[in-house]
Amino acid sequence: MTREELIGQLAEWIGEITEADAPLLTEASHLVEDVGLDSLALAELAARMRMRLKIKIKPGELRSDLRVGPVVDFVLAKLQAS
Amino acid sequence: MNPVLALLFDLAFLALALVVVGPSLAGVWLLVQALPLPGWALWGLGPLWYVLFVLGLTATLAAVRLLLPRLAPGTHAFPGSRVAVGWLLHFALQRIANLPLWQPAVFCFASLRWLMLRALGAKVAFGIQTATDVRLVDPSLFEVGPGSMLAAGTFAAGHFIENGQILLAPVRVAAGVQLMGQVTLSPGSVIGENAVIGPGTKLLPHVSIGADAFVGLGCLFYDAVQVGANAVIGHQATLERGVVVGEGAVVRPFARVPRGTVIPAGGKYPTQDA
Repeated sequence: MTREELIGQLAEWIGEITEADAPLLTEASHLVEDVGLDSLALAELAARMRMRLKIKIKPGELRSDLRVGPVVDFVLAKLQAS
Repeated sequence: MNPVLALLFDLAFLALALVVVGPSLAGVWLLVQALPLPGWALWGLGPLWYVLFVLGLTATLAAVRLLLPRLAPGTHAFPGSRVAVGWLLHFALQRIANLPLWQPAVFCFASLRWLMLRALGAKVAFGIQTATDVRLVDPSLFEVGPGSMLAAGTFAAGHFIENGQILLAPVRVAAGVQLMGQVTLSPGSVIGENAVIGPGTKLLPHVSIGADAFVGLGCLFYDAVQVGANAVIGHQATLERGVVVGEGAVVRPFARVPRGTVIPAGGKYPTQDA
């Protein structure tokens, strides 16, 4: 999965979770401050990552930096490690 | 409780306290008397005597617990069964261990806390984090895996007494679990690996929460609720008896899920946001 594909996938999942149109994400978009996700939506997003991408994410691991760029880096690193 | 039984419990508690606490106190006093140290040095080493006392207490707790009958999970007549009497003795023993004279101080030390919990029969990993006011009232029925966190006010009981019966069942917390403040676990609670349980959430008997599930704050789970892996339960949701939440399913905040409802994997309850 490329970086661009992953960003597109994240936008699609966020749209499903928030039951709204998929947001336009950039590397700098912040999932809480710009996209408006709350703690439950972040938990749903992490659950989708774990189930669909078959990666392990421990509690709080995703929250270290919630900008899209670092989140994508984190997921790609997990995918490479798995 | 029946007044006669209450008095018998008090006598058992006093006898156990004498057996468990007395030798440890006496041992430290004899040691201090035997050391050729000036008074100021003896006082200055106070924390060391305290740790030695706790180590002695832990050893005697372990020895006494090994002499008590093992707690058999299941439902038993209360108080008129051998298992119930055995449980009362285990209960008295944990009350001694949890006396406010030493319990908060013991829980300040990772090593002393681990030793004390192991002495009481808990299957507890060394690498856990707990607040000092965590309360585990049936430690010999309690298991917790490495990397788990039990925040302030966490309460776990492996027993439930109702209508002349006592239910005994283990409480199992897997590795990497986060129990936020004031979480209550009842007998038969099973929390899967890396699950997060929000502050103030209460689990009635035989609730199981799957691995990586996320439970918001202030939720209430009635008996025998099953939550699948990666499910997300919104804040202050109430799940009535026997509800089954499928893998990756979502219960919206403030929802009340009626008894026996089955939410399929990946589903949302209610299906539309109110």
